Amino acid sequence: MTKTFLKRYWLVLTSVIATVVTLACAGDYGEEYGTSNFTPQVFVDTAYSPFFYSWQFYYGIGHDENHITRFNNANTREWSTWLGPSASQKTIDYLLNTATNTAVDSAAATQTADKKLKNFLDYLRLAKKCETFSLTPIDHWEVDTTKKNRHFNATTLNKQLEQHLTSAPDPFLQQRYWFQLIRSQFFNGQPRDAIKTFDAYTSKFPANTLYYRSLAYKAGAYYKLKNYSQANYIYSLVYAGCDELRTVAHYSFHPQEQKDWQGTLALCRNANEKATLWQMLGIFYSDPQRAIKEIYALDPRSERLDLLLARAVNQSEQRFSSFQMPQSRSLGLFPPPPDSNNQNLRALVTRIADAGNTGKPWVWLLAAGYLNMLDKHYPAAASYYKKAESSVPKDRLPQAQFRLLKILITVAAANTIDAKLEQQLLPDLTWLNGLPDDPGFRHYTAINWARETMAAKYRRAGEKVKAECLFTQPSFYTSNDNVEALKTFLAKPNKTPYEDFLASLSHTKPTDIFEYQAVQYCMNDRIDEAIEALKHAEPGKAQTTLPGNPFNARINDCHDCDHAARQKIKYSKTDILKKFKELKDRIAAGQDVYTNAILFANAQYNITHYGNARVFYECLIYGSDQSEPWSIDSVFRAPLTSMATAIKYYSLALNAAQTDEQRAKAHYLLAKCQRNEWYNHTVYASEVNRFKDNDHRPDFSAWAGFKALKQYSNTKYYSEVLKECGYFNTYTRKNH
Amino acid sequence: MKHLRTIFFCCICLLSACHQRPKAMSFYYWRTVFSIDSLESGTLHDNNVRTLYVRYFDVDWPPEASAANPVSPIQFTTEPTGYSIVPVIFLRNRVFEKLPATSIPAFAAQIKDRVDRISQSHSIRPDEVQFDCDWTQRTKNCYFSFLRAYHDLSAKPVSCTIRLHQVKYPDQTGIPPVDHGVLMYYNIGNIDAGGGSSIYEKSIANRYTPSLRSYPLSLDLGLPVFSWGLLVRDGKVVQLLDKMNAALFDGDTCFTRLSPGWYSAKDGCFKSGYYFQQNDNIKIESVSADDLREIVTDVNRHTNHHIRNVLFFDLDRQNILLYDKDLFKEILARTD
Repeated sequence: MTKTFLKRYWLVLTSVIATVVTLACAGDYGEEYGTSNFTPQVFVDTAYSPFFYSWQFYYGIGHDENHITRFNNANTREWSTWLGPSASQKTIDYLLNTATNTAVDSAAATQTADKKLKNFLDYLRLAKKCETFSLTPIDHWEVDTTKKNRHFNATTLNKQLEQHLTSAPDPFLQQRYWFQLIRSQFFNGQPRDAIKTFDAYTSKFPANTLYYRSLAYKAGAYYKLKNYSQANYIYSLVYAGCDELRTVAHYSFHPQEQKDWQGTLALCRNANEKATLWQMLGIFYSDPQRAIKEIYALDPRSERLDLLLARAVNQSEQRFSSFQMPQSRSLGLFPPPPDSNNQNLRALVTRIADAGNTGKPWVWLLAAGYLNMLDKHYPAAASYYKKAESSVPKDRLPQAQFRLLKILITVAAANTIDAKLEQQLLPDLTWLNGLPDDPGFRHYTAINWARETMAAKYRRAGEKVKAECLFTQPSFYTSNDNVEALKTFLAKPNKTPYEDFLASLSHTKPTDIFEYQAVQYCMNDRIDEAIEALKHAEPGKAQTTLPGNPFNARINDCHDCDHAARQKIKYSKTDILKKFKELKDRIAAGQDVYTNAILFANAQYNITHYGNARVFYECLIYGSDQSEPWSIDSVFRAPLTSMATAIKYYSLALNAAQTDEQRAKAHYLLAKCQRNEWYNHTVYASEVNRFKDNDHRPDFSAWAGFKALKQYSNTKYYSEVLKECGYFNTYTRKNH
Repeated sequence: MKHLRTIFFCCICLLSACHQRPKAMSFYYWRTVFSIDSLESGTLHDNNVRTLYVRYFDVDWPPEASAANPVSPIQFTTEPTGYSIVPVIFLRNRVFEKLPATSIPAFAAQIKDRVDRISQSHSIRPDEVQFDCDWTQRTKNCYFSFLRAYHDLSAKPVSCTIRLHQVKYPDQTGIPPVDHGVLMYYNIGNIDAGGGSSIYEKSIANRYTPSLRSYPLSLDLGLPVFSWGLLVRDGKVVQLLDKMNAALFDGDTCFTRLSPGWYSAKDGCFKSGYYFQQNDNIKIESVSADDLREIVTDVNRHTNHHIRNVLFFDLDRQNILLYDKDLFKEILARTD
């Protein structure tokens, strides 16, 4: 595998991409998983989806800021169940989450015969007091953290909580008092007591959410006591046992020294607990390969391998990335991993795939196949997929993943694409191209890559039209043979199903091609052909109004001025061509050649990028809204900036000039063209200049037009130029 | 005659002594929890340090956020009694790339409000506020407008950090509208896996120091007394290892010493809260006593007596232990 080989297939060609299949971008940075063909949801428990590989901190979440409201709904439901008819859910929700301490106090003070309600309100009174120290809103400008009592004296409160804990009439209430007491002891400077309280009651309560919330505070207490081994071990139990707190436990997990880590491992009671710790290390500390090795050695069937494999593969496939995610790349969101990483991963995954002793052998076979494909070992990749054939589950997602990977290897491994392969691929490509937007199954990378790669192979085999349909390239349109061939293909009746498919993918429609040709003909002074071509363009496009009078020329170019100026006649693309023909016919008949040639030349000047009627050339193929020549695709830059036809007709006008005024004007307008051509041959001649400092270049030169104009210093036009053109002014002063 | 000459000479000495304002020594405090231990307080006491420049919070505007927000505000576990505190706010340059001009007054008010609340809740009455921002040509106008807006709201002097490239190119980067600046004589080089130090490299500093002479703002001198490690993986720096030094690695059997200041992890391991993968390399960068002497000599040569006080970055036991306890005094004395 050579680097150039890599480049041919895996790097997007530098031409502007106007892909038909638009990427469903999740915001400005593309998908949060970058470039991917390997969907974790296919085989990883979605309870662990926050840990899928993503540029966000947590996949699908971003930063976890849910700390205050995380259990609100569950809490309301649990109380509602316990209270039964004693209170409506709406009332409970209000009391728990909205009511102030005062409101709760007064509610608790009211007499009620309902024992459950009374117990609830008594509990709530104390629980609300706890919120003073236990709720820390996320820090933003509006939050007044000075109100928070940093040194809350919890002596009385804790005594009350303890009393209720021991005397609570049922386990539901008791567990809640237990939780509040542990939390208070944690926050109010008694971590040892928090641990004691937890341990005293641990066997009394079921391992529900409240249990894990309490357990998490026990971990926090150990952390405050700097017993990192215990703290991290307990965090791993929370991580494993509680879906809602998984991100919290993951975030809190933080071994300081190697001995802490070893101490944590030593506390594990079984292989599964150790596997959990290795999984956490593998995710949080970005060492999935080490984690996979360790877990595999402990228990090859451990499910904890799945997430790590997904992360490792997703990271590895970022080298697949291309301009599909331009902004995310420039922001450094998905740096591709180095080669050594990729080699090691492939070796590890294939070893495990070959052993076939994991909980989901088919996943490892697919991963091995895919990683081999990424490293261009196509026969090896294909053989892994063959081995997986019989064991991939028949469910939708695994089958879709399998089918997608097989499409990729088929396209990757093919030297050429012959009719047989086209038939074979057609149903797969139709399926892949037609998949609906689905965040649960990644397919955009695959279809875009397949089209790009197939296009490259077709191009190598000289099948330019097929290539262009799959993946448009501006350079295709610089050859008229290509353009005609594409036109013919798209218009072909009785296409084969494969041809139909290609035609449907084509970025360019026949009307676009005609419009493009019309512009080309016009700029090359083939007016009749231009008129004929424009007839077949989209009527709306042909009627596009040019914003300024294209037949005017100013001493100083000012497009905005021309656009703002009052116009008696407005020209559409069709109109300007008609006018060109009129002028040309008159010139051919010898009628007022000077004036007509000047007008013709003015308009030819104005329809180039330098002129006020750029809109004339704007179309799908040439592009639009280019604020400078650099924005024009490099293959179109020369034709769209060329002064050739304008110069031809200004020269014609000069030859036909009969007065000095006329000659002066023709020379000056030629000087403008010469200036533009100077830019074309210097600054815009090479892409290299795009990001260089071009300020060292002269502002102007002694154009032939300037030199010639000097002879006409007696003309009115000369003095106008002197007034309006600073460069000419300077030139005359320096060249008496 | 001889007497007259002696008297004359003594007068000159006395006069110049009067014009030499005694320089003060201060420290930056840059940790997120304010807690000074005995070594640190002892150092402050021995060196007669009266003022601490305390980072109150950072302000950042990450790409995906809709506004600038404070980051990691300081928490005080002990009250900073006995010291004059200057709040320092670190503003990321990208805040000013996105902040619209019309929002500047409100933004300044938000920051002042936050500064005041932190100060009030710990009985701090600052006599000055300082801003730390590595502004660029593009953000110059916005940042300077912000400084002016803050000054308008606050009756107290406003200072800001100045980096060497801003001293050298004041025409491009502008001179901030502040009462005085602190010359950050560190973080001069590139953070990379190459040979030099990103903290201080004489050859790089030399390109800038001569410009000090003509810089119009009066400046305190900010000197580095910290060390850190660069975690290098596959030739690229992937993490900064805050406050780590060579001594920490020398004794650790999880690491092999490759060459002075370079270490390699034998296996995956944890250390000081960081995780190292197998074959990760660590490059330790630090500033020696001789480096500090060299810096002061160079600054003296070009300063034309513009330098006011000396500020060390930053107060931390890990840093203090790197130096002889008399070094700080010596550096202060050497500063012209």
